[in-house]
Amino acid sequence: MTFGRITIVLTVILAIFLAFIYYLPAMPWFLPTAAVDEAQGIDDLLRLMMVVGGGLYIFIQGFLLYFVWLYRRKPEDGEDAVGRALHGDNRLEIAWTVAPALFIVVLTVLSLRELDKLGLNEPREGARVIVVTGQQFAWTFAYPETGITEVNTLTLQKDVPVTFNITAVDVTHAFWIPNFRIKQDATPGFTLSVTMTPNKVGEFPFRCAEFCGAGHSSMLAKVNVLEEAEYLVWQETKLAGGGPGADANPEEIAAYGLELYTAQGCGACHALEAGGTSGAVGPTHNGLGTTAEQRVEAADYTGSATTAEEYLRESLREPGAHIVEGFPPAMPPYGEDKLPEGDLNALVQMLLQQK
Amino acid sequence: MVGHIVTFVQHLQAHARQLPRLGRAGSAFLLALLLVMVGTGQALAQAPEGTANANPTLTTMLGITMGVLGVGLLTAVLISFVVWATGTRNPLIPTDEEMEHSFRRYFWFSVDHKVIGIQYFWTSLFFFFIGGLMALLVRWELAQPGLTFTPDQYNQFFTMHATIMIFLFIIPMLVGAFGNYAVPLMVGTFDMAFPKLNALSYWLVPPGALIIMAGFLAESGTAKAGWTSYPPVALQGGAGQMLWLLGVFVLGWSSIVGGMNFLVTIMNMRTKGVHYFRLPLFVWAIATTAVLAVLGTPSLAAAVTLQFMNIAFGFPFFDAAKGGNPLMWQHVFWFYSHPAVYIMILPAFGIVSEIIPVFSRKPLFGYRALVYATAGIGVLSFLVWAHHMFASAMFPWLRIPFMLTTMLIAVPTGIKIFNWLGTLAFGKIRLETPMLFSLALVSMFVIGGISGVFLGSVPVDLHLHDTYFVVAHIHYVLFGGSAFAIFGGIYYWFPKMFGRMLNESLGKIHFWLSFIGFNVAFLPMHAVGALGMPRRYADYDIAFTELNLTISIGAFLLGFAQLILIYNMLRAFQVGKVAPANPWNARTLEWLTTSPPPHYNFEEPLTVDHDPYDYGRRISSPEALPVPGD
Amino acid sequence: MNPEIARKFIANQETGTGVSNDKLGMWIFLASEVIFFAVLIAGVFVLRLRNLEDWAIHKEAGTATFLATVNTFILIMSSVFVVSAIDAIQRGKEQMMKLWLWLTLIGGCIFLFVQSLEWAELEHGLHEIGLPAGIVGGAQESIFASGFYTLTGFHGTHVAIGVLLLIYVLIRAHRGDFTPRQYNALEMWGLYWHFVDLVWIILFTILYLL
Repeated sequence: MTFGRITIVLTVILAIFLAFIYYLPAMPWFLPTAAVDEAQGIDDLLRLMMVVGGGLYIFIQGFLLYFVWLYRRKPEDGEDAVGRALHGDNRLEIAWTVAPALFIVVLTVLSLRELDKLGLNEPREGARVIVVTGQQFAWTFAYPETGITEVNTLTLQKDVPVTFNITAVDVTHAFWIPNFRIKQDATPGFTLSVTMTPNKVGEFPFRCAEFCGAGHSSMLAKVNVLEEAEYLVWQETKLAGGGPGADANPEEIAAYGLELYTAQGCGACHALEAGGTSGAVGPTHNGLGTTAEQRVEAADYTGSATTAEEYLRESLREPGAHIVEGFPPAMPPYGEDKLPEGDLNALVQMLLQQK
Repeated sequence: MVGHIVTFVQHLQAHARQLPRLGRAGSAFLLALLLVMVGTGQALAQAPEGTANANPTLTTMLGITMGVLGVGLLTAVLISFVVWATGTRNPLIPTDEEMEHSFRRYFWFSVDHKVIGIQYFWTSLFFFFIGGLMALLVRWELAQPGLTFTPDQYNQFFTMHATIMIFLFIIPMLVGAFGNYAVPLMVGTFDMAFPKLNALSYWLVPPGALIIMAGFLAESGTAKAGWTSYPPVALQGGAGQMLWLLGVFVLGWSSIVGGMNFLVTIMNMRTKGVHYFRLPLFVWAIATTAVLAVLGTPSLAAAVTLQFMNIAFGFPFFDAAKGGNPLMWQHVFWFYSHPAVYIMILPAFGIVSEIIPVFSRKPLFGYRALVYATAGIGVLSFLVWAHHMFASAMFPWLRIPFMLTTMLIAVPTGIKIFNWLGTLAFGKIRLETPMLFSLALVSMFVIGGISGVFLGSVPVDLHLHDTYFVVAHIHYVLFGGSAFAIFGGIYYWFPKMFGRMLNESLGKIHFWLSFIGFNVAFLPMHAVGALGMPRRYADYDIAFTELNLTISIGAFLLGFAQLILIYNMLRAFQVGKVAPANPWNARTLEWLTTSPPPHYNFEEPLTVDHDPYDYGRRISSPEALPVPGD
Repeated sequence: MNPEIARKFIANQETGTGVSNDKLGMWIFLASEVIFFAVLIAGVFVLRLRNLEDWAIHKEAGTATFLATVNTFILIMSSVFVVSAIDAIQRGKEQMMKLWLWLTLIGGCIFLFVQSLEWAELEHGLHEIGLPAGIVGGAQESIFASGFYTLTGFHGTHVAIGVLLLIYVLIRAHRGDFTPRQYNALEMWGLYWHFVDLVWIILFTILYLL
């Protein structure tokens, strides 16, 4: 085979391969659908890098395989055959130092430009603020403008920029919605602001991306991006306050309690058959109505409750009062701000019914 | 009665003369080990409640475990003393004769760099299999969605997998085993500069490993915050985490002492004619690595010290609520751990730079450029640490300088790749197993290098950071790079170290199964990460099932392939061909002596008048090249 | 090790540095130690910047700058004594060398004693301003105390190791091991001691003066 023919073959293979990797990020099995304005630039940059990197890889592999094939020791060479005594070639070496350096400079400049264009950490006009707080193992989203607070569900309005003020209370977590691309650690003692503009309606997964303990992989939330009308409906429902009235019957209260149980993400750490959860970080909630009574009466009980109901209230308001043996003191306290009295009552009533 | 005492005293006097045989290094080591054990037990017993998840039963139990080990050790020392004092020969201690020749020298405090290298070799190989087992447990859990183990167990598996592979396999194998064995031979001297310190740096490894492993005995399990041990989550780790920190501290000492020894050996003990630019690339790599170890490891030591203080005494260094700063750990930790990545890859590059010219029968192309690239990577590696923290809480503007330095490091790495290609061109390439692994490294490492450039670009990294893409990247670098070089090194130097040839066909089967298993396991990780699966997840979205199953199958194939290596080695001891002095027709100095070399390596001191890769000289027989001194 | 063979090999070496193995090794080891202390000090300093007020109050309450100044003086003097000891042995005055080394030993011991007084002082001071009693108790609430105990603790450990090694050097001095041509152990130990002294000067500046 001549050099010419090999060049043609290699060029064709290269072209097919590069075309393939150029479209790779666009396929649903390489990157999740982009759902914010900022994602486009990042995807384009990744795509470019894949082409440049892929091309370079093919180039190097091509030479590697070609040399190994061309300069293999043939039987007629004999045992002691040696190669040509080349010690180096300054011009060639300078060339292959400068060429990759140029590639690198181009990629760096493009990355810098993209980073600048994203303007992630700068304040943006008209952006809504949402305070995102991570804790083991749930996300709290607070909307200071309206006073709404939600756990594990983030509701956004399409085409309205949002500034997320990201922080954490116990350990480091990370804010990440794969469809939004951008990731930011939530570290106790720090608040970082990231601004994005969602541009697709739909429901997206929200995953904690910084290792945060036993419940790391169950520290999931969901993101709902809504059209303006639906967003306003959601906002009103939230402001009106959920939950049954004071005169509701026990079944209604318990049903609402179970709703809260799911919404608050209790299942990330606890198991409850009725709620279909199987978390193993904290003690199980199956049969809690019975076990609660036993725990209060047990000799090693360290809290101050005297009845099962009081015990459950105490476990939510100040979980440190009594840690069930064999479990870490990982449960965060749920104060009035996170769990109003009515909601607390509903949760406790529901749990007491678990016999 | 009096007669008995007199005899006993006479015995004592007679044997006191033999005291040095017990080895001062040996006794000092035993004493130090004792102190470490007692100290560990003590520190754990005193862990105040509440600062960690330290529950009293756990610390007591660990204290007792450590105490029992310590007392056992003390008993062994006492028995040895009595046996020695009464004149009976202690079966535990080899005689001088045995120290020189018998198999038993590998189980005692030898100061011969070759014995120490072989001790390192088997120890790290043992830990390779333990670490591999951890990896397979991780992949077993991830083969299907849902939980097989508890998340807590899973976290211990991946933490210990990384810890063992990094601190107890790759670093001790590349630097400890190959470095120790080959460097004094390659510079043409009789031993390391400080043979006793060399023994010390090996004998710090088993206690360090034991301390880390002791975590498995703890009630709350071993360390489970990942090998990066980010506080505050690491602070919740309790006794297992404290043992991890202690163990890493001890292993760090081993690294520092070893690094110092290598630097002095390479700077001061080269035989006549081996000036700096006649050093084989592997020696240059070990020298650079030693600088990184000496200047980087103390930073890790300081970091684990601060974290240990935080857990054990409640000093709030990393506790944000009390004025501490969780981010500080990340800076200090990565200031060591990024250079550590190069500690793990530079010697691998060194091995490849040895093997490629030998099997292409050509001088290394652009020797000096490779030397400068090695040193350049060493310097740059101290300036890039924060690229692990692009998504962290540090000032966003800090990303820019660290992105620039990170991108810069691709240039010297590229030089290496191209110079290896240049070495292949116009050669007479032989595809024996060491060469196959080296070529695979060139191929696989390029993938890891390119994905490294992706991760070095901030906007792209913000998506890929902390996902399986990063896991894929590090495995292409550390398995496709370091581990493949280690396998290449094993096939290349095994004949020198043990005097037997490994079987070629088994070697090739090992290679191809490893190569296929490796790619099946790690290539899909890029996709699963980009699709949105974060690393360190015990359970995952069902959308990722197929890819994860593929990865697990690849991992098990890769694991199985390594058994072939073990079989091949055991077989070589039984029926392997006896190795000649220079089976590969190589030109570096270690091949100028017998396989295995005698106690002082060479019959006579050498004077060298040739470069390490002198193929293409008219005289092709290797015996004609060196000019023996005097 | 067979000295015959070793000597033959050593005669054939190309010692690029011209420095003895021991000295080169010691310098490399000290470089490593410099990084260890640099990182500890930098870490504590960064934490200080986040806790300026707390730092000032706790420092005011718990440190005795006078004692520390005396201590600094003693340690610097002991470093001077080491230089004098090496100078004495170079000139063959063995008795003088021993005298200087004994003075260094006394200096080192006084330093450690005063340092322990300082720890007690800090604990007492923290208790006065209402932090929990006990060394660990007080430090659990204070970045200054945590940093102080950690830094001076590690430095103190180095001084203590230095004192132990000095005892070994002294024993050898009394056995007459050192001659004007051969005082390697003394020199190596001296390097270490100067390093420990230097670290203290930095610690003193950061913990007491600034």
